[in-house]
Amino acid sequence: MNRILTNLLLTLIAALALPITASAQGTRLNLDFPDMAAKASETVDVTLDGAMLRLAGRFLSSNDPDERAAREMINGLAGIYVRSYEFDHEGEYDKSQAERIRQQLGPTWKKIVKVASRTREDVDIYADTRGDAITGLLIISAEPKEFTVVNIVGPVDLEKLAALEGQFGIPHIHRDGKHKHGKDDRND
Amino acid sequence: MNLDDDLTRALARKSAPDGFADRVLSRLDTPKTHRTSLFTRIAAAIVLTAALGGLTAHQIIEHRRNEEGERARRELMTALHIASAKMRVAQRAVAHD
Amino acid sequence: MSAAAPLLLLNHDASLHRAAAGDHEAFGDLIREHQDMVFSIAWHFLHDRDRAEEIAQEVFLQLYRALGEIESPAHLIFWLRRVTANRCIDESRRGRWRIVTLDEANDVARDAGDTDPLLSRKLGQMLQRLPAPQRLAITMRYQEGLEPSEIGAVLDMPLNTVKSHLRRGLAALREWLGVKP
Repeated sequence: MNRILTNLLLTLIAALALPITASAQGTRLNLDFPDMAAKASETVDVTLDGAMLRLAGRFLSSNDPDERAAREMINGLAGIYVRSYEFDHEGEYDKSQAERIRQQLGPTWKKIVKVASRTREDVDIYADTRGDAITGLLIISAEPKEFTVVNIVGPVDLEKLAALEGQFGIPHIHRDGKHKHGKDDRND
Repeated sequence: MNLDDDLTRALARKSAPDGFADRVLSRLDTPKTHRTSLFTRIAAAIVLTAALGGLTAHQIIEHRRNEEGERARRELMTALHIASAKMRVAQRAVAHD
Repeated sequence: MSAAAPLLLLNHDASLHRAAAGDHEAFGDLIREHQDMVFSIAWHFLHDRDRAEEIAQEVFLQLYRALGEIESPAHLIFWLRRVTANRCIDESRRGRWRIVTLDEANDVARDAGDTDPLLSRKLGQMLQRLPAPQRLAITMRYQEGLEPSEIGAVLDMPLNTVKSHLRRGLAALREWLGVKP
C-alpha cells in the first residue's frame, strides 16, 4: 500500500515536467470555520487572490534566495489561502470539520497523500488535476492542538513547494552531528 | 534534553568585539553618509510636500500601495512556509514507508 | 526597590541627557552599557561576526541622531531592540547568505563561556534555517527574556502572530533535533 502511495506521488511529480496550460485554473474552496476561529487561541488567516499575489510579487526581493524561490512559486497562481488555528488544549476542535472541505472536492480532485498517526500529525494532500496538469492543491493538517488548511489555486510545483524550507544554502545538520550540503535532509 | 534551557544557554548575550564603542565614537567625528532607504526618502518627500500644502492624491495612493504590498509580501511568505512545512511532513512519511 | 535604585535611574537619565546634548563621553557610556545586547541580537540572527558588528555600529550611529527622541532608559532599551531587529530584517533581505564555518561559530560560543559549545553551535546554526520573524521572536524570547507581549511591542507584531512564530520556530527546532515535544 505504501509503495502504491509513493509511486502515485512520484507519478504526479513526474507529470509536472509536462507543460502546464496556464488557462486551466482550479477552483477556490470555502475555508471558513467560524466555530474554530472563535475557540482558537491563535489564528493565521491569509487570503491572497491573483491581484494580491501579483502585488506581493513586486515586493519580493531578488537578492533573497527564499523570496526568489517564492516568486517562482507564485508565477501563474490565481490564489493562496491559508487558515491555521491553534488551541490551548487537545480535543478543543472537531476533526470532522475537515469533511466540510472534502465535500467541496469535485471529480477532478485526487488524493495524493494521506498521512495518519494516532499521536501526531494527520496530513491529507489533494491535487486538482486537468489532464496531466495540477491546477490546484489542498492540504489538510490536523494535529492534537492545531488545524491547518492550505488551498492553492493554479499550477503548483509540488517539489519546489516542499523544498522551500530548505532553500537557505547553509549546511543542514543531521542528528548525528554530521554536516551535509543540500536542499533536504531525509534523515529521520 | 530541555530545549528551553538549551536555547537560553545558546542565545546568551555575547560580548561585543573589543574596541567596539571606540569605533562607533570615531565614526561620529567623520562626515555622516546617510543611507536612507528608498521608502524613507519617499515618506520624507510626502511629508515635505504635505507641509508645503501640495500633497497629491497620487502620492498618497503610492504610499498606501507600498504599505499594502509589504503586507502582502509578508503574508505570502507566511503562507508558503506553512504549506511547505506540511508538504515535508507528508514527504517524510511517504519516504519512510 | 532599593535606595540605590532611584540614584541609578537618575544617573542613567543624566547620561541620556548629556549624550543628547552632544557629550561624546556620555554617549560612549551608553554604547558600552548596551553594546552586548545589540551585538548579540545581530549575531544570533546573522551568525556572522563582521556583519553583526556592522549592524550594531549602524544602530548606535542611528541612536546618536535620534537621542532627542529617547524619553527614558527603558525607552532606550526598547528603541535599541526594535531598531536592531529592523536592521537585521533589512540585512537578511539583501540575501548575503553564506556558509557558517565551525571556527567562526566556535569563536563566539567560547567567548560566552558556553558549557556545551557543540550543542549551542548546532542550535545557533539551526536558527539560521528559520524564517526571519521566527528567528527574531526566539532570539528576543531566549536572549532577552521577553514575554510574547513585549516581543510584539518590540517587533510591532500582534500577540497572536508572535506566539505563532515562537510555536512554529520551536517546533521546527525540536523536529530537526529529534526532540519529542
